[in-house]
Amino acid sequence: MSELLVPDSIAAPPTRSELVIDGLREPGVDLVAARHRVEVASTALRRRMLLTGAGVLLAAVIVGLVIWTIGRVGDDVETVAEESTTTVATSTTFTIPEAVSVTPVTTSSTVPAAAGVAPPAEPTSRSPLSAQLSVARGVSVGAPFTLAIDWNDADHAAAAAPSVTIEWNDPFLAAAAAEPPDAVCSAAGSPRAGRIERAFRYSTPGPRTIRVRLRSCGGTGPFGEDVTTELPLDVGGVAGVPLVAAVDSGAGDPDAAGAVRYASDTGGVETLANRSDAIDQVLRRDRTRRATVLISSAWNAGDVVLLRFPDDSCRWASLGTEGSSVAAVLTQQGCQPPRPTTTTVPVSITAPSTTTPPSSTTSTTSP
Amino acid sequence: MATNGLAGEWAEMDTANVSDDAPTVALPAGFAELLDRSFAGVVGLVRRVSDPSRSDPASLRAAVDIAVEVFAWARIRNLGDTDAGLTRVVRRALDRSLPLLTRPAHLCPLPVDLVPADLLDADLLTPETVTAWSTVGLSSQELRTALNDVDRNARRVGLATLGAQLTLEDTSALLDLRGDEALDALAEVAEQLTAHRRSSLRPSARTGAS
Repeated sequence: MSELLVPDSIAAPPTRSELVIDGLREPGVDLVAARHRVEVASTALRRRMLLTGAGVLLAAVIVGLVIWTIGRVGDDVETVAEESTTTVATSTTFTIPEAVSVTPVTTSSTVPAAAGVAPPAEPTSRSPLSAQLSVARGVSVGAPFTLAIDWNDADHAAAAAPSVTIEWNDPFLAAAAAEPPDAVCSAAGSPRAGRIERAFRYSTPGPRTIRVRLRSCGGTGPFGEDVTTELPLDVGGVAGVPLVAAVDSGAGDPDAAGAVRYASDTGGVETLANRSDAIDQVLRRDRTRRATVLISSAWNAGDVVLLRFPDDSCRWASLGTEGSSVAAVLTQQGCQPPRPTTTTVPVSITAPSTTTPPSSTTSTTSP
Repeated sequence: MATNGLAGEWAEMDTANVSDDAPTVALPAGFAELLDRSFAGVVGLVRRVSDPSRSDPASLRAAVDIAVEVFAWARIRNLGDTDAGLTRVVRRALDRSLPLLTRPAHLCPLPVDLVPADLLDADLLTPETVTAWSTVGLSSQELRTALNDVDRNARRVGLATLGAQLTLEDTSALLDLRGDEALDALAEVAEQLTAHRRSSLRPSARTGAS
């Protein structure tokens, strides 16, 4: 009875998730036994965690010891080599004329420069940069995937990893911007390897060939590398889905010529005659409207874009983030802007050469 | 890194055979309330995935085993009696429930707020498919194949809606998702359902069927 006297305002109302989980309650579950089993299981789990942690720690110590031992052996070898080099350098120093002023500590290249000798010699044998391309699993339309570029260079002279230029060869999406090559190197390098990963989504299914160009040391000069590797793959998915290019709300009149275009990879309502450098990412499938939405990677979360569909209907969407990819949160339907915005992302999509967009004729008369 | 390794080991752990002689720890108040409030619900959720008709007593035992695993995991992480704690428990339970979609004859009825057109392209909506999906549902094999090819978030939503027949609204509440996030996740599942069904209808596959 005392519980009945408690005012309702004191007890917090159950949340939606509480109501749902309460509705799923399985009858006949022994909670006392469950508590006991959870206690026992969590204790066992905690013990296993401790044992696993101790095992990992022990393994790390062993690996560290092995590496340290190998390093010691390597140091000994290098010490012998350094001693040998020192001996030679010392004997060379004795031959330097007194007129040449050399500071006590200097680099080896200073001596020949002071003696008027030619610049560094080219490497006698070059080990070319090699790269292997791979994707983790099957690639399908609209699904983000990661291209892994495993590179290996036995005499990598640059300080950083090679610069990457990727041609995805998507018929509707512009290629990713090429990374600027780094500076030309002046000395040979040491063995290095690494992995570079780039994410992408294809707009349409079909066979594609990814072409990757790797450049180190500017790709030129005696120590420069410039290699191109290809990876053929088959993009799965449903053909014939219309493509819709989003346009930023800063374009003003949504009916303006060139503002909105859509296409189909099987010859749909309208064709994107040329790729636009601004449209370089697949946003996602709009399942309700049966369309694939293309956007620009230059846009940011919160930018408002307009989607215009082949049936001449529109949706306004606010870009959000979904992990590392971009998602759209639909705001409202209709072709009129929801509210004034200050988005200034430029978009330029070439008008199709064959068909006049149904909206373009009304651009000058729209209020 | 350590969590991943632990998850692998934990997946192989048989909690039903844990010795009762093992020293036990007292459950903290927040976790004990979470367990009391939601353990039976999590069992019910898992059982809806494995045995919606509740006809097999073994499915109850399997569901309880998974719930014990999940709550032991939650206990280690000191989850309390909050919506966030409940969400993490439900997510974990759904992650562990996918292997239960194994019986060949098992069918997954659609939740009340979904129709076959939400899951398949129009050209695949044959009268037979619409009738089958509207009455008895889609096969667990077909659903499991599709769920294996989507990301984890979409897999949870697909399992909760199509596997456990929860409405999208309930699924959103349990998994702490916005409505459009749940819709997007379900759209990913629908994409895979469509793609797999379309690939199964290719000429080579049809030849074998006919």
